[in-house]
Amino acid sequence: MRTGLLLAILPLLILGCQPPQAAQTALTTCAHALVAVDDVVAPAYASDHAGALEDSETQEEYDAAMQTWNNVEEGMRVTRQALLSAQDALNAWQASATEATFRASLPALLGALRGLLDLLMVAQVDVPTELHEALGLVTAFLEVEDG
Amino acid sequence: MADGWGIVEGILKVASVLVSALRRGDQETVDKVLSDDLKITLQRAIAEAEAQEKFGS
Repeated sequence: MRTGLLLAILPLLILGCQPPQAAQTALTTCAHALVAVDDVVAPAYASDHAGALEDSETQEEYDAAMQTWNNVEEGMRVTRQALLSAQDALNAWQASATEATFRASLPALLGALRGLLDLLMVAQVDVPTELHEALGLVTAFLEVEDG
Repeated sequence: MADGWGIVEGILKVASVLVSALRRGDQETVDKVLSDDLKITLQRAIAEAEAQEKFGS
């Protein structure tokens, strides 16, 4: 618990900025991470699709071959939506100075990021370091709440 | 003691990420960083259209 508090407070002190600004930095880092992952998985999806389409005799065979990648695509969409929701909550925090809605959006975002990481590992994708960084930042914000 | 170093390592890692983000000026809102559609979603749409064309489903 104390570890989490330290993890969350130190970055804020280093940045010397208000919590909403640090929160925006965390969300923006997550967004850049999603873009970095997208840059890796989109060409890989296209490449595996070409192979699966050539090798498959039926739609079912093709669908089965692409299942892992379709799961990754769905995980990406879920993460994108969770990020946009967290941004809406942060905008509300900045407008009304109530932090609760933003904090409430973080577990869904963290769950989406972790789920995406799991899916990328199943797909044997080299996970961009940005995703690990984003996970660390969102975890740090949640630890403040728990602490 | 090993736990202590682990804590320090974790703090430094998170701090380093935030400092890098600050240097990059990461204060853009999420909607400005993300495009309207994910590239992988567009690839999936193209792929499914091609599969439909081949298998006629």
